[in-house]
Amino acid sequence: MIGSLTAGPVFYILATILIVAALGVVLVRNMVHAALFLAAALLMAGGLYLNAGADMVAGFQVLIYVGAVVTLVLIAVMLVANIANAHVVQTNRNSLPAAVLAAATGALLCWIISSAQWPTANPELAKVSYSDSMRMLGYALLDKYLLPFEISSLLLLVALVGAIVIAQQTHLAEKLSRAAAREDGRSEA
Amino acid sequence: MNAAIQPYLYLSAIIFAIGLYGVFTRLNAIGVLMGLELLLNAVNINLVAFSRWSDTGVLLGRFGGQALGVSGQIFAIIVITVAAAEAAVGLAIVISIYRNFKHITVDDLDLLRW
Repeated sequence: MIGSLTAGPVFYILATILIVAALGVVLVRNMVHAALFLAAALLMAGGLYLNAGADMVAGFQVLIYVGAVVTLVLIAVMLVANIANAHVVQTNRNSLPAAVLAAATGALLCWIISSAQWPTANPELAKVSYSDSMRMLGYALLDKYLLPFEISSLLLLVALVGAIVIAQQTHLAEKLSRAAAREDGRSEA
Repeated sequence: MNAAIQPYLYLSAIIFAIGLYGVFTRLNAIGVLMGLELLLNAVNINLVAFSRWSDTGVLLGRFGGQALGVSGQIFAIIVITVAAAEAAVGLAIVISIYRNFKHITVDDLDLLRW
């Protein structure tokens, strides 16, 4: 049996830290601190996946999100001047309407969740073991979900090339203008 | 058993609302991207919870048998993949904008406005 079928104390501890860290991400002024709060929030989400029996997703969460995305965000914060400064206001003047709108969205979602009739848990799900879940995930990924798997690999390749090209843009433009200037000099001579 | 899934869904709704607030109020583009990551994680929590509590199984054609409780996990893994690609391209765009404008304040980036 993986995880627990009812939300135990572990769930509530992880959920509390997750909510506090998420509030830190959106409210803190120093963007480096916001990125570190983001890392904490993503780590807690990984713990929740583990608690729900999704061990593989928890591993991906820690490797990709906490390991790669947060590092990328931190490097971007350090490359961009003046946003890690705690004395510079990092929020716009829409705080009140945004808070109202976000609270309304959350309340609407909670109302729908409380009023909907959720399906009862499949008793077979309680019998799935950790090793079994991993094996089944691999089989399903390479059988029924092969096409999304391959498309996501293509997407990663395109994103890799696209990110390099976009970040290099000005460098490329400088090279081109320098080459054009060289051409002009040669034609004058 | 009906109540078992609901704490996860409530938590996901709260994280979604917090992320939405972040997207609306952050002045710099990197803060907006961080809010987006929170939104994607709220969705992932939902997907994992549904795969744990209301999965009916996937028939495996080639391998035979049935994979139980993995559909939502595969959705979540693909969402994580797309989010990683989005973060890489988004931050590359932010760096490019910073090189050209010397700031990344999203309110002042109105080049495409008529």
